[in-house]
Amino acid sequence: MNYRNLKKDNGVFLYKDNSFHTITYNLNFVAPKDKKYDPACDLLEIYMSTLGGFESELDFAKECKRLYDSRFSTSISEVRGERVLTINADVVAFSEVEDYSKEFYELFRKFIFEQKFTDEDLLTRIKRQFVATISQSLEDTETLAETLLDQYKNGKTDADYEYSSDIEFIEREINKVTLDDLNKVYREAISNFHDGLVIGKISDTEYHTFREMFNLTSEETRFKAKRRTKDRLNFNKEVKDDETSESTIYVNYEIGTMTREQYELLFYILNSSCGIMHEILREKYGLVYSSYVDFSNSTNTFSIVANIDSKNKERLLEAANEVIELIQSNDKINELLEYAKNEIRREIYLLDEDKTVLTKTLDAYIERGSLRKDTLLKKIDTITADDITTLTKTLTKKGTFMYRGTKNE
Amino acid sequence: MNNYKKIILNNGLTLYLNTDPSLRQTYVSYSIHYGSNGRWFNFNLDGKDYHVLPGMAHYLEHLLGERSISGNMYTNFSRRHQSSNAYTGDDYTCYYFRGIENINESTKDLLEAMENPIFDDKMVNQTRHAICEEATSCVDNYPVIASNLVEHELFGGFDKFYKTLTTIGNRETTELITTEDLYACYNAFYTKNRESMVISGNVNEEKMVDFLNNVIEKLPTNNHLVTLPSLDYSSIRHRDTIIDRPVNDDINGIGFKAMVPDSLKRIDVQIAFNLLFSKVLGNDSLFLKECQDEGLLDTYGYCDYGFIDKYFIFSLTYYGNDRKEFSKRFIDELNNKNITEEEFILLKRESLSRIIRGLDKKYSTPRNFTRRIPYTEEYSDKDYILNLTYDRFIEIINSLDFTNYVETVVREKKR
Repeated sequence: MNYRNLKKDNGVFLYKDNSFHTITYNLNFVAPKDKKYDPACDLLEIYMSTLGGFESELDFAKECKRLYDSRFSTSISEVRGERVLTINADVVAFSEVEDYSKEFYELFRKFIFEQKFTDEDLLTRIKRQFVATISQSLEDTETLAETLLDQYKNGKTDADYEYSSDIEFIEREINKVTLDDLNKVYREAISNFHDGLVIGKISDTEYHTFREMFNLTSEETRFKAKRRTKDRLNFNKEVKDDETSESTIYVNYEIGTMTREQYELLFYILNSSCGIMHEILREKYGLVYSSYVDFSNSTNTFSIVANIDSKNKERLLEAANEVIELIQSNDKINELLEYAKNEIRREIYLLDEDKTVLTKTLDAYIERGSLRKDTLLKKIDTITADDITTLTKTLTKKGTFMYRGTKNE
Repeated sequence: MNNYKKIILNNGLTLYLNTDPSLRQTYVSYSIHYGSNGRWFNFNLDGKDYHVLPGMAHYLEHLLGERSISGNMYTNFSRRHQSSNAYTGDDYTCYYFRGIENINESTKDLLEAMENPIFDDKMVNQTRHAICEEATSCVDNYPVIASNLVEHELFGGFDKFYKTLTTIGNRETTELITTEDLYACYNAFYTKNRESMVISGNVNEEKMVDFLNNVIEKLPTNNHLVTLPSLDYSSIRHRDTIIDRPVNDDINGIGFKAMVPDSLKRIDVQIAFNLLFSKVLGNDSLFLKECQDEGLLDTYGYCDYGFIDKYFIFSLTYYGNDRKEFSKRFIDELNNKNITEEEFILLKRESLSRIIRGLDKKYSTPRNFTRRIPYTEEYSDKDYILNLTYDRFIEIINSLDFTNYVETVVREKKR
């Protein structure tokens, strides 16, 4: 990957690369922040992707198929305190098959700017499908555990839509959404273009056609970083479920204040500790078949997560303490540093070998100002063992959360 | 995947080698045509009959990798800054790693682990606890249970899955697995005609083959004699099955079993079926829209297909309000096969674009580049699609009969 290839053009970043076989367009718009629109935003994503600006979803689907399975999606997410509507189009590069660029751009324009919200039957159906999807995901113990942990961390309850695990409540909120709600969110977002990224095997002519047909300009680039909120992790909570034997436990730590560079380095150090964690949890203590680390960037927290037999909770906590103590000691520093360096080096290579990783990396670089991997690699070479220990010693144990399956107890 | 060269090593191991100068990482995998499928629960090894418990393939996957002659193979990979994993599928087990340096050392560790097992009673017991936990969690994974139920019912002649409908048994069966049985399964199924390696990277073919042959000549050979009973793959267990579990909504299932004529290769069936499936349940399908509008199909669960013996099987789990009505319409639609040439051209275009897209992420997960050897040795699906004619496509789908099916439901049991 060559960062010099990345060009900024009035709010749109262009990365031309002929080693791709596809072209991806990611366009970000700022949507209304009001929480009352949360359910509407969830449905808007699906509605837009289903009709694509057409009267009939079948006509939209047929046209996409005709144009070499052109794919469109929308997602609404929070980026640094802003609600962002991202419209994505993913196409086979025009030069790979035949030049269908003009037809594609017409379709893309329709998708972005000509959406209508008049189909009540479709909305009813989408509501039903959305609830079914959420219901299905909450069958999974890990998803349920993660949802509940999020709830407790943020001081919320099942009555808060964004954090709820109560499927009946979610269904009620979803059923209140009207076509007018969708229209309002959409109209406001579309008039608020923020930035875009075009990446892949695109020629100058094809790009110029895109810029001419889409009047999208912006002075903004990155979303401004907000102050990190404090998670309330000072709790030890357990939720029991006698219908399952699966248990998921989070052992939570707070990370101290540090620079962005230090944080990114700590991220790699802690990720690299997964190998050590596995050795201790599995081989020494004979626990778990599944364990990983989980970061929350916005709230400066780190968790050791494991799927275990509920009877082994105390042993798991003992093992987790041992993992952290080892990371914080000098014994493993050099090993962790080497792991981190190799992980970064591998990610650099992966940028050339896996285009989806390249797209995500560029997105993060543009959106959050993530450090370039080559820069990070150079910085690691200047880091000492003491620097690492200073970083790892900022980890403070906060509490645990366990979703406890008691079926076999 | 393009440009894989098939090489048979000195001990009979099949190697698929892809030399790609654009890669800076090397990807190595070892696969064995043996998995969690119940058709391997009974066998005769060197004159003795064995009836083993479920989960043997998965248990071996753990033992061979974690208790090898060089210790824990995955820890070694990790120390060499390589990422690695293993998985046990229905009919194959795969071990793989990828990295930048020390590839030969890790490849040697991998081969030694696979070809020279050393596990004993102590090691078996040390591994047992983690596997028990994994097996326990599988019992409560209802969406997967629903998918397994469909395939279980498609075969009346043998237990495709254990009665718990998990691929690896449960805690009770795991606790009963013995070292003797594990070695019996290893000796029966980790054999030359079932194993293969895939290596992809900026490697020199001659040097790599020499290196592998040098490693192999020091390893023991497996000369055991195994026979498998002939199984009845044709019969269906039950046409309609209901089980109760504490799920939020009923999980419906439907599965088909179609005999594959000798005139067809697996790739013929695979690609033609993909096109047919896209016609029936693609986004532009009128049938799909009607089902969705009426609530017959709200969302999918799992969708899977594969081959067992002479049969192609396909299963689908889904959420919807009237499984009988959906089944009836789906079966009719699948067997309709009334596809115009214009529709075929669009389906081909869609399939081609999927293949082209795949080129941008072929290394994103190792499963994308490891070949499932029993399935196909075609290296380029793209060429196949481009050369597939309408007449040939119609010929293929007309020779597949989708009237042999089962229906299932994992029914909501009130909490």
